[in-house]
Amino acid sequence: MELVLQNLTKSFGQKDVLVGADFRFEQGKIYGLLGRNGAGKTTLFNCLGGEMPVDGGSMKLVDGKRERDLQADDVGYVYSLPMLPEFLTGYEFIRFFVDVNKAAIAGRGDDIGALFDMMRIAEEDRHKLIKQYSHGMKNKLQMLLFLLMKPPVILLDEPLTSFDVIIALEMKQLLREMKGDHVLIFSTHILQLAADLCDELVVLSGGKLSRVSTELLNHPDVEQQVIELLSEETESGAGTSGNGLERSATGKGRDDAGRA
Amino acid sequence: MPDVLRTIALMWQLQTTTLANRLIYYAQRLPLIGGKVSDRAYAAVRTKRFVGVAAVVLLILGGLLESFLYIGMMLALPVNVWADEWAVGERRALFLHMYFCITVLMAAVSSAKVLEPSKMKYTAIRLMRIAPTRFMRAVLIHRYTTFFLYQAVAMTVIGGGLGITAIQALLLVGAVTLWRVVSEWLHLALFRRKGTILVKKTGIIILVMLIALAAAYLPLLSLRAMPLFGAAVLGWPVLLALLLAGVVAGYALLRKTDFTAPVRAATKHDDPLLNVEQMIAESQQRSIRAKESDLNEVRELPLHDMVGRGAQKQGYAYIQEVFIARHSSLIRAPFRKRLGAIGVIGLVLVCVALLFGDTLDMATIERYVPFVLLAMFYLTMGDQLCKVFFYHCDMSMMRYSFYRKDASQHFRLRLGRLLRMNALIGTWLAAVLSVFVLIVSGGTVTSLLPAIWVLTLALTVFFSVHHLILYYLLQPYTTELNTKNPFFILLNSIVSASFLVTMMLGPTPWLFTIVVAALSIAYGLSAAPLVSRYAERRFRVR
Repeated sequence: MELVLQNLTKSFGQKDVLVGADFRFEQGKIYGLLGRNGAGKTTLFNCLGGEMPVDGGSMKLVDGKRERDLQADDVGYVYSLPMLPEFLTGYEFIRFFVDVNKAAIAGRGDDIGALFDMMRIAEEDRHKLIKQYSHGMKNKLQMLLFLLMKPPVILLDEPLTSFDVIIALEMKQLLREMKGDHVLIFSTHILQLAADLCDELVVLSGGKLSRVSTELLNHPDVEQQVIELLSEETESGAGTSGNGLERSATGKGRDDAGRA
Repeated sequence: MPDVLRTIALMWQLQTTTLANRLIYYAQRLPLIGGKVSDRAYAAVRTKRFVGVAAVVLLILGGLLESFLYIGMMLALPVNVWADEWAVGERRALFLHMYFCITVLMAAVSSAKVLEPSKMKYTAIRLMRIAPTRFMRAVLIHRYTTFFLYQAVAMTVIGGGLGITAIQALLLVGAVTLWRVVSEWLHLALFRRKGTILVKKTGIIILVMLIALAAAYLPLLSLRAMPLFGAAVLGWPVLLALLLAGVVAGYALLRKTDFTAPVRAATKHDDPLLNVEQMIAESQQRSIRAKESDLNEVRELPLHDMVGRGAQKQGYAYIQEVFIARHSSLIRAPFRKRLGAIGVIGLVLVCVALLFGDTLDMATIERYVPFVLLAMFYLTMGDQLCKVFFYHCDMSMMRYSFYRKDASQHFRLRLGRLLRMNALIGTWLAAVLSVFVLIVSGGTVTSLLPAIWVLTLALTVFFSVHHLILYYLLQPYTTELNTKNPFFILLNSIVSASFLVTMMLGPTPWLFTIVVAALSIAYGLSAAPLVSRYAERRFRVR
C-alpha cells in the first residue's frame, strides 16, 4: 500500500503554503518530514488528517491496482501536544474508545490489558487520570489507539521532542514494530533523531516535497548537509536535484542522485 | 493650545489607523468581497487614507449613535413603553430623573478619563512618549466637547417628544457635561489625597451602578411611592451651580494641573484592564475551572471492572455520566445556585406582593410576563454547560474524526441532560411566580397561571436547544474561550433583539406563550436533523 500525493496546493490568503506537492509514501517505512519553521509541515498534516481541506490536488491510497481517495478515518494523528480527555483514566478512555468504534476495531479490543502491556504502560498507571500522565504516557496512549484502529497512515507531529532517553527509546522501538502495517510519517526538527529512526527523509520547502537521497542519509555529516540543503532551498525558492534532493512527481522513475 | 490640537489630531490618527486596520481585517473575512481584499491593503497608504476617512465618519456616527441609543433606548423607550399612561409632565420628570441617576450620579463615579486605563493612553504615553499633561488636556477637551455635541443633538431630538425645548436640552446637557468635568477633578483630588483610583475599585463601582440603576428604573414598576428626586435636583439653581463649578474645574484641569503622576498610575504595563479581551477570557476560564476535588470522584467509581454509577452505560452515555460526576462544581453547583437565586426572587416577589399588594393588579403583572423570557435566558444552564463540555472534554475529543462523526449521539445525550436540568429550573421558577400571582390575586386561580407554566416549560425547551444547537453547529469557542464566530454573535444578537421587541410590543400572556411554544417545538424538531447533517463538519476546534 502507498500514500500518493499529487499536485497538492494550499494557500492562506496570499500565502501559498503547498504549491503542487507530490510524493509517494510506502507502507513499511518511517518517513521523517523536515522543514524550517513555517514551511507548512503542520498544514500538510492537517490536510492529510482531514482537519482542513486542500485547495487542489489529490491524496490517494494505492494498493496494487486499487486506489481510493484518502479519508479522515484512514489517518491517525499524534499531536505534539497530546489531545486526550483528562477527566478519564487511561483504562476508561480505551474502554470508551473500543465501545464507540466496535465495528472498526473488530476483535482487537477484546484484551485491553495486553494492549497496555504492549505499550509498556504499567498496571497502576492504567487507572490513573490522564490528567496525571506525563507527556510520554499520553503519547503512548494515543499510539495505543492506532493498535486498535490500524489506520493505514499515521502522522506524528514532533512526537519525541520532549521525552527522556528511556521513553524516547521505547517510542522508537514501538514505531519500528508498528511500521510494517502503516505508512508512518513524522515531522521533527531533530535531524539526529530523523537520521537515526527514519528509513527516508522528506524535506518540505518552497511548498514542495523532496526526498533526501539515501546516500545523503547515511552520510556521517548528515546534519550539516541537510542544514545546507534547507538554506539553499530557501534562497533559491525551489529545490533542484543535484543538491541531494529529488523532487519527482510521485517518486516513480527516480534515481538516487545522492550527490551530497 | 496648538499643541493640544495637534495632540487631538494625533489621537484621531491613532484611532482611525486602528479602526482602518480592523476594517481591512474584517473585510477580508466577508463572503463575497473578502477574497479581493489582500494583505497589501495594510500597506496601501492611499487605500488606507480612504479607509481612514471612512473610519472618521464611522467614529462620529458611532458617537452619535451611542448617544441616541443611550437616551433613546435606555431612557425614552422605557418611559414611553411602561409609563405611557402617565401625564406628559410626569413622564418628563421620570425621564429627567433617570438621566440624573445614570449620567450625573452613576457615570460620575464609574467613568473618569483622568485615571482610566486604556490602550490609547498606554500607546500615547508609554510608547509614543507624548507628555502626559499635554495628552490628558487633549483627551479631556476632546472627550467633553464630543460628549456635549453628541448628547446635545440626541437630547434635542428625543427630549422634544417629552416637551423639552432645544434651549432646555442644550442647557441641561451643558450643565451635565461640566459636572462631569467637575467629577474628573474630584477623581483626581481623591487620587492625590488617598492614592485611590476609584474607577479600578470594581466592588464600589458595581454597588454604585446597582443603586443608581435601581433608583432610575424602580419608579417604572408603578411604585409611585418612589420619589423622582432626579428631576427635582435638575432645576435651575442646581444647573447654574453645575455650570459655574464646571468652568472652575475645567480651568483648574486645563491650566493648573500636572497629570504626570495619575497618568503613570493608570498606564502600568501589567494592568489587566489594558487588555480587556485577555481579562474576559481569563475570567471566563475561571468560571469553568475544574476543582481538583471534583476529579477525586474517580475513587468512587470502581475502576477495574467498571461496576460503578456509569457501569450500566456504554460509550457516550458512560463518559457523560463520568464527566458529570467529575465536574460537579462546574455543573451541579451552578445548578443549585440557580435554584437558590430563584428562591430569592420568590422571596422578594412575595415581599413586594405583601407590601404593595394594593397598588398591584393582574393587568400590571400580565404586562411583565415577557420578563420570564429574560429570567429563563439567564437562569437556564445551556451556556454554562456548553462551555464546560468544550473546555474539559470536547476541545481534545473534537480532534478525533470518530467523535465528530458521532456528534448526533452525544448531542442527543447532552440535550436530554440539559432538558432535565432546565426543566427543574423552569418548574421551580413557575412555582415561585405562581405563589406571587396567587397572593396578588387573593387566592383566585386566573388564566395567567397556566400561561406561566406553559411558557416556562416552552422556554426550557427553547433555551436548551438554542445553546446546544449553536454550540454543535457553529462551535463558537476558541481554546482561550473567546467567542469569535460572527454568526454566533449575530444569531445571539437577533435572539436578544427579539426579547426587546417582545417586551416593547407587550403581547397578552397567552399570545406570547403560544408563539414561544410554537417556536420551541419548531426549534426542537429541527435540532436533530440539523446536527446530524452539519455537525460532523462544523463541530471542531477553531
